[in-house]
Amino acid sequence: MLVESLTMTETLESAAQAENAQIAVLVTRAQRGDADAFTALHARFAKSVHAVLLSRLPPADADDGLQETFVMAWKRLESLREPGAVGPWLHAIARNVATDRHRARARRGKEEPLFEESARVEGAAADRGELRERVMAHLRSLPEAYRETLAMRLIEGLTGPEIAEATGLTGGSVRVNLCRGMDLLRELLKKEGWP
Amino acid sequence: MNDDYLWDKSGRDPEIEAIENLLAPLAHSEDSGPPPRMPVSPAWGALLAVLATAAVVFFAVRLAMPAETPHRVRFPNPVQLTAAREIDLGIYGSVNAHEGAVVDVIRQSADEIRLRLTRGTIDARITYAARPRLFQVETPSTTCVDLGCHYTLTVEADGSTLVRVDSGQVAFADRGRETWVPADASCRAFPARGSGTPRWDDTPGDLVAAIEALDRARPEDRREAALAVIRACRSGGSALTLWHLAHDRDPGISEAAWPALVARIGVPDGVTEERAPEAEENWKQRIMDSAR
Repeated sequence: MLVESLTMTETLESAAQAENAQIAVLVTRAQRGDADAFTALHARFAKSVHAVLLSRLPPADADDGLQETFVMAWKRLESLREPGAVGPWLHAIARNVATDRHRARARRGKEEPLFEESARVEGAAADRGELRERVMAHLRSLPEAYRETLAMRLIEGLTGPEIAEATGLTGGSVRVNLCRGMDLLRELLKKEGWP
Repeated sequence: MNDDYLWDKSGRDPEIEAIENLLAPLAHSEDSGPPPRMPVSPAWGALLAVLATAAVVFFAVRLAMPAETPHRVRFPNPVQLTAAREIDLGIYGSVNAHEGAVVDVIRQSADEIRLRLTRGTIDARITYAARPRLFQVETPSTTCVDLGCHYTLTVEADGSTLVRVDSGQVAFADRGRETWVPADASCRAFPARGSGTPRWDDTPGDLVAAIEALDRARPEDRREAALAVIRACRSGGSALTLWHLAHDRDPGISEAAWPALVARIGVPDGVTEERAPEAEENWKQRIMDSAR
């Protein structure tokens, strides 16, 4: 059993290493101006970057922020020293994009509703919109590490190992973030009378 | 909570799945198109044009998407199933009707999904996405009202109904009353008499026998049968059953049940008036905690 476990661990580690090497190659190619390589990076990280944005911004802003993040990343790609750290680097840009959007919103002098779309629908769809809005409000109230990880898992559908790969966190850290974040989210929902 | 499902989606966790379903429309969509191609020296005019086109396509697709309403089930009403059949309620969950069930979809709208189960068994798996009471099942003896849960509902040949709740909670609604049945509990309802007495699934045999005797007792024998249940509960019995009896219309039963309930689980924190309606949720939480 112990031997089997070790073998499994080694297999996962070597798979992760191969994946990281592949990403590093894509980054290097993109830094040389290869747009296809950059598109491949977008495909790999769009979900996790979108989750980082959604954990801070309303959905419409997050969609725009995603484009903005990757345009900015393309412009700054040469400054990335460690190709293997492209995931955390993209997430850091996304956090800055979200902060800038909050500032721009504040400069405009009005705080727009987070979920404008839900106000325009009726009946059950409106109920679900409100419900979604409440869940997202609770999710955004969680500590950063929890809300980003939970957004990746619950909204974007990434698994724990995929989140670890995208963020550069260890599997153990991601698992802790997911479990603690979910416990907190569940408590908040329970206070609202959810079963 | 199933940590494995949260980690790598292995196994199942209905609660997390329900939240996933609710939040899924917010996810990044591949339909919004791949990122704009980045030239070595970005031609910003062309880039903006691509971005604008992608945005227009994205919002057009979203506007064209239908509103979220349950999938419409089409089969003749009522129908006796010759084989097990799953009724897909879309984001609201699903109902697995067992072979032989006589089931009838009598209303299906965004506001309410109402089935009629005349005979046989269904397993209902209702997600968080469904607001409480959206999904209801009429039977010959009661109406089973979903409060957010998974449960199995069986209608016997005599028209009596048995619900077993796996998670969440349901209510039997009949004769102007609601009978609360939480997870890990079951309850029967009877034609003409309505809901019986809920009990935990691990209730000892002697108490089960006393509860069944109460549920089938003639009106003139009911109080005595209820007092027998209360006595049986004193020796490590069910707070859930006592809670139900504490709300009995017969004061001779409710007055005996309240002290037994308090002796069994105490008064919930913050509750000063035991029978105040606003204390109800505290009591329910205390009762569920007492079962763990």
